[in-house]
Amino acid sequence: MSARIPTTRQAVAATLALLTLLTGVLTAADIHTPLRWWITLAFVVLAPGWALAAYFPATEPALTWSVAVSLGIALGILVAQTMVSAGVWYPSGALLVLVGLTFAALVHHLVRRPVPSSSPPPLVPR
Amino acid sequence: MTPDTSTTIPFLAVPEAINPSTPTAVADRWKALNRSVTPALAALSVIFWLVGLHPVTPGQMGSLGLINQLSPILLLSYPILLAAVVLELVADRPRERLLTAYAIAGVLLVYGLQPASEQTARLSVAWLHVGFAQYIAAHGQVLNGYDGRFSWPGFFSLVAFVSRASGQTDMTPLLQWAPAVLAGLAVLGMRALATAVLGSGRRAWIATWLFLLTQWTEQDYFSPQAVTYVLMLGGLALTARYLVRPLPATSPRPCLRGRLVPLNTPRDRLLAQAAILLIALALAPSHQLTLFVLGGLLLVMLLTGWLWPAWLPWIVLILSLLWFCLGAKDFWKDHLDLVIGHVGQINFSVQQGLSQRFVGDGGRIVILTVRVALTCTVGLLAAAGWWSLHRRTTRSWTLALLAIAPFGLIILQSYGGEVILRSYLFALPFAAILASVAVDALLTSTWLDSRRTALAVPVVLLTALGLATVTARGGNDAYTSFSRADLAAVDYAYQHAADGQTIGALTADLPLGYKRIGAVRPLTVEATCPDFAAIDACVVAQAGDFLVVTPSQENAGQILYGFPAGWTSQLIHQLVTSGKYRLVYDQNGSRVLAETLGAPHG
Repeated sequence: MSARIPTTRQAVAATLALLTLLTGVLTAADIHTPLRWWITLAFVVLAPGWALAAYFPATEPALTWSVAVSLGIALGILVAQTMVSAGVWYPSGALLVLVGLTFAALVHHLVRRPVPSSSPPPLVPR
Repeated sequence: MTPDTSTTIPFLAVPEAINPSTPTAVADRWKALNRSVTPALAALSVIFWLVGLHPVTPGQMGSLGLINQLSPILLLSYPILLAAVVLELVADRPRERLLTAYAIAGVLLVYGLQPASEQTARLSVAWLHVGFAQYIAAHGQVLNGYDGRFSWPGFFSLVAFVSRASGQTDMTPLLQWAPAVLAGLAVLGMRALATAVLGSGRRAWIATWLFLLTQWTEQDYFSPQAVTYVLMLGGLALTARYLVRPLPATSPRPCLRGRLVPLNTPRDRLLAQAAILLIALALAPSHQLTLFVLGGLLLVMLLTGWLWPAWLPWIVLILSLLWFCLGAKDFWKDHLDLVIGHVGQINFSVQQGLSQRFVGDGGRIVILTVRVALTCTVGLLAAAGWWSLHRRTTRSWTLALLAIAPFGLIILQSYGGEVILRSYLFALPFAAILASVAVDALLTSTWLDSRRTALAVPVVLLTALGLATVTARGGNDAYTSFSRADLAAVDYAYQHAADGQTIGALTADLPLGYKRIGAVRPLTVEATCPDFAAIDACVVAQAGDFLVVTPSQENAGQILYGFPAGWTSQLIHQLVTSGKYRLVYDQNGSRVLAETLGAPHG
């Protein structure tokens, strides 16, 4: 029986799932380490956004990562601003919810079949 | 006659792809050589850059800023990297991974220069932003009535959220490398937009490099505008990839009513619209300008028949108006005149954004001239690119309108004298796309004397743009950068200031406000003194409980106001001998004065 070679999408999903898990453990256990801030920052910027961006058909890596970063930051802003505007300030709890949802989406990317890519012609003819 | 390629300099060698007369064997050898030459050149460039780096403090810099302090070996790294890029771009099969690595190196060389050579993060505003985020982290809410920027707190809330959730209280470590990271993310967004518009060929890489080499505005420091710019580029890239339909190459007219469904699935389009809506929702509470500009650009796409979902620009514009009216009420109820008072006054905006900025000594004027020249060069290249497209294939005005539309901000207001700078920043992505067509035409031109010239001209052009941007970006560093001693002086003042006291600076060039927001009041004599030339009187009346004086402020006085060398020392001497202040801290030229107990306020 031959082992299946993971696709790039699955490899990225697995890496980000590990980052998500690590963030969740550090936050839930309230472990104090200088690395925790940078790990959390990397999680917020990369993981939730990529989990959403990967639902687009496979395309140029720059587009995927640009959209992933944009959506990650956008989700982070919306979560944070909702708490500030509502006067309900629970950053650790909100982060754990974001970790849980992101992890579920990343696991889905690990197991689902890829969407075929679509490559429209450039807008400006060569 | 076959050219003797064996004696040519490798990075100026003529690739076979654009010299079909080269015999196959020689061409193969050169192809193989060139394939290893470009990574070697790029590696050499990074090594030169690292070797040439050395620490620079504000006290060492003159009115030309950082450029005067850069070593020749470091300056040499830029043309070498750009030669590698151009050679790789004209190869038969440009290697995407290498071009990506070169772009990362380019971001490091251009945007990592100041973080790598200066002791602490520059720009006092960046430090103030940390103070805003720390206030939200500690209190879970904004400080109403303190600063207009709290009316768009999305970015500060995000930083507070991440920091608080990870147990971090000091956010200043984010500052120093923020410009390199945020500019790098903007370059990524530009690459995504360029590939969506131009395809994945050479032009998209040229557009990415033109953006990287001409973004001189320095709006990539730790700030809402830097982060929202990244989001805007992501939104535009998504739009161009999934929500527009390429116009037929020969279509001369907009086709608003006959918009075409993009060539993808309904699922793709639904996802893209949802993602852009999510980005717009995050932009609304984060920055006062970016979402309006995104809405305006989408509107241009709609009106020229490019954009398929007609509702998208309107919902984006409505969201920005909704936040402005409801979320930013604290701001506009006090500053409505600032917002709408100068609508339609183009002269006022231009005066504030251009002519009134041309003040200062000779070095400062040179730096300002470099910025204007860079902006005009990008404009000319974009115009040439548009003309080339217009003449040959695409008769659409859309790209040109997208590059021009952000300058419409000038009609609305002066944005505190920054409107031209901001307009350039927002126009740059589409201007770079158009300019890439012109530079690509240079690479393949037949009118240049030889193919070697056809390669050398773009290398020289890109190097000139890159070095001009390095010059422009570091042009204010004599007064906008700080040393560790400056920071230690400010820290000293914060440690000794009681709640309700004030910490003053002579000019705005001091890292103030990064802690104890709302408890200790930062103030700047420059901002409140009606006649800064008569600063002596203002200082006595307004300097506050602590006064921090640094070499950056000394430089600001000399460069911007023509004060004599040593003016800050003279002022300190006057204040101390008058008995109003005493010198309580002095380290490497960074000094703190404390008001003498019982001294009467002027």
